[in-house]
Amino acid sequence: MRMYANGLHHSIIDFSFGKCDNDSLESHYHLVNVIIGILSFFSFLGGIYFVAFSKERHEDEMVKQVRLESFQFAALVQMISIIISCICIFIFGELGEGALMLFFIGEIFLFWLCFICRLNYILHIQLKNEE
Amino acid sequence: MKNRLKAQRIKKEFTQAQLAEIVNISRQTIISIETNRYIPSVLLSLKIAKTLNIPLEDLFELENSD
Repeated sequence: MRMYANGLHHSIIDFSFGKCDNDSLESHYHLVNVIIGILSFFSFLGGIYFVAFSKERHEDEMVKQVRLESFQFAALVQMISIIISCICIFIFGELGEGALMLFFIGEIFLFWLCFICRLNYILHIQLKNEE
Repeated sequence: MKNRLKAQRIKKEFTQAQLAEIVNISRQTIISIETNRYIPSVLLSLKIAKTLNIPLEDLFELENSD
């Protein structure tokens, strides 16, 4: 993307790197990085949703209860993590803008990963007891 | 809560898999109920009782601690 002195963007994406000066090249790379980051984030989140909400072979009331308990567990873990992190930030100083963004993204992933891990662990334990 | 599902199931000559298939739940759920790790809903309890052809009171019983 070409940046002009008045801050207006000339075009959305221009891949003619050779013609860009250093500032515009940097902003170009930054934009591409941001787009890739956003796409990765939403793709990964979409994948997590598919894993989290995929039905078991026998989706009965016990599995639904385990699912609900896993939601509660994940919410609790997320809340504890946020409280501890906020205390750490308060004690050790402020986070930069990028680090703060990473922290919030991490918290979103933490919830879903905790949910999936607990759900599968409980179902795995039950399957093991069955054998 | 005390349950006599295992005893009643064996008495009526049902396997876990057969009972699970008729009631439309997984075998894991039957095992969890029999081992007192899961308390079924009223609907599921009634379905099991109906399948085994026994009154609900013969399957589940309240204990003093409940």
